[in-house]
Amino acid sequence: MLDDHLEDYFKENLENVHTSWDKEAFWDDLEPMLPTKKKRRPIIWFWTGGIAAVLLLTGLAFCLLNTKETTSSNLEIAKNQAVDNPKDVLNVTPITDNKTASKQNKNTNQKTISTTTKNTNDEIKSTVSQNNRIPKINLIPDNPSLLNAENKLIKNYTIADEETIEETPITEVQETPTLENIPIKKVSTPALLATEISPLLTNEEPLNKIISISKPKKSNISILPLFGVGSVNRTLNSTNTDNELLDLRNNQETTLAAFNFGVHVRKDWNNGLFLQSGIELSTIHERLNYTQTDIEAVTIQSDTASFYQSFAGATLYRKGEIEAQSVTNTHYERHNQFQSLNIPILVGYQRHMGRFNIGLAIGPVINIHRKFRGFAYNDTKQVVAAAQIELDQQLQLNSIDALANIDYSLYKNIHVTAGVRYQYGLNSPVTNTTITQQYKVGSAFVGLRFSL
Amino acid sequence: MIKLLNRCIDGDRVSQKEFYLLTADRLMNICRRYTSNLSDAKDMLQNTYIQIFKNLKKFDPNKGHLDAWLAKIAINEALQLLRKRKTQLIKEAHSAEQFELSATPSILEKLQADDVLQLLHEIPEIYRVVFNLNIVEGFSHQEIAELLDIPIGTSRSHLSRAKKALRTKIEQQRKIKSC
Repeated sequence: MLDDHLEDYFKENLENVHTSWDKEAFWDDLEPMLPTKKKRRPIIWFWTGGIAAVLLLTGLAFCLLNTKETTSSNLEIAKNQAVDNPKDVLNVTPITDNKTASKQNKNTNQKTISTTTKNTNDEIKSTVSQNNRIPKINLIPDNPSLLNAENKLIKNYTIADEETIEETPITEVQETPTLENIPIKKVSTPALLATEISPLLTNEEPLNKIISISKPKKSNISILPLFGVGSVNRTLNSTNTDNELLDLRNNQETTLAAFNFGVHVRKDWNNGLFLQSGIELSTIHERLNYTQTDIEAVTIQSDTASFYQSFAGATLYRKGEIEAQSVTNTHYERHNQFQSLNIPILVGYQRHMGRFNIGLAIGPVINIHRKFRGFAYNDTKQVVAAAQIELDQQLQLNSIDALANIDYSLYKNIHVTAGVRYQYGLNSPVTNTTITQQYKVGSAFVGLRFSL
Repeated sequence: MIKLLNRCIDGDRVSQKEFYLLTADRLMNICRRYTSNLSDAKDMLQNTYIQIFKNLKKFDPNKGHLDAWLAKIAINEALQLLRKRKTQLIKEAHSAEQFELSATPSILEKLQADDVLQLLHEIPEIYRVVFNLNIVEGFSHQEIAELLDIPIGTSRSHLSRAKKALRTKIEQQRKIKSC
């Protein structure tokens, strides 16, 4: 009976096995390990975290940029104060209160002039239009609290060189400086401009520095969408010695194709150092061609005869049954994809060479998600098997990354960047049940760098 | 049962315990088929319940029966634990050809369900796993090949050898019993 119905016999009996164990004690151990409702799926957490990190970096970049531009703008305005007469008044510095004004007067023998305007704006921008090479002249209120009820603007100025101005009582209200009554000094050549205007500047900065104020500022934050193609040198390790796929890979596969794309954010410092990070998806493709041998044991039952059957090098005697093997060879093509979502954190140095920048960077790559996908095709290219494994979501150090890049300033704040990259794998992109793999990826990449 | 499942999804511990008590024996039974070690079976079961309560909201009654879904998770966790323990599934297959029959006195008395389980545990682990997956759980050789990352032919030959080994063992017991 057992020989004829072995499968049913085991199936029935194994489903009725009774195991004695303490279910209550087991539950007590299990309960603290169960997830609470608030706990979110790790994959969501990591995806959200990755996206949030990118957004945070981008937001931070914008904030830093805006803060810097505002501060820079204020400083420039402070250096270029409006004057009644550029010829006579050389140094005009806003003061914040009367105490400061008095103190300044004592120390520098300066005088304070109060002027009133009917302008409703906090800032009056007056541009000398007849000569574009003359820097902009801005009037700004030195203290918003001085704005009176009639919305009139009272300005306090200190004048450094008292010899060049007319003696005017401090309390006297002067004529309101407007665009019309600002005298324009005509200059025809840059040289003349330098000689005529430069001495008027209080801080005696070079003219070219002042003129460069109107040029677009270079940002130190940039965003880089990148795409890379490379090859993988892979080493397989396994404790098993009888794995057909392992043998196949050792014999046939040492170099694989790899693709990589992502978005990086980069922060540059004036000394040439930069920090680069972002998120990127790497895919390693593996193609295997192999012939699979299927061996199926066949048992033929006979109640009436005895047989001598020889196979597999041995002669067997069976009464009532014959055992034989059915051998089928099938050719398959297998396409495996090892995907990993990574965050590289690179520190580098960049050197400017005209419109070119040459940089080197190195740093770790943190893996946040890994996935394996495999497809098997038969000779007619039909998919006969497919598998997908989402691996445990764990942050782990994936590899050490080194890159060299060169970028070219294409247009204003847009650079084309290209380079080579080498990743020394520290952890397998996918850990197979019986096989682990170490990899080294050499790749070339291209991308754009947008300075913010 | 649907209400109980919904309460479990909401994280109600009392309901989760009720669900656990209803299903624990069956799932423990599955785990025991894959390992002879009770401690390993408990580890498998523990991981199984963690996965069940974590993924219970994904269960769709329209796509299949709850028992089948639970069994699938238990089998998956059992296989994962065997992998983590680096059980040399394949390596054992080499020695399986030469393994000697050993008559165990306890199974000579009567071949009850527990004895059958013990019998199953006496064959090499890779044979046992393939036998369980194919004969007891009903997986096809193609599915087994994907689960264990072995060729389909290897799965078939392991099953064949498992059957042969079990048949020989039972025959041996019969002979001893009849003496």
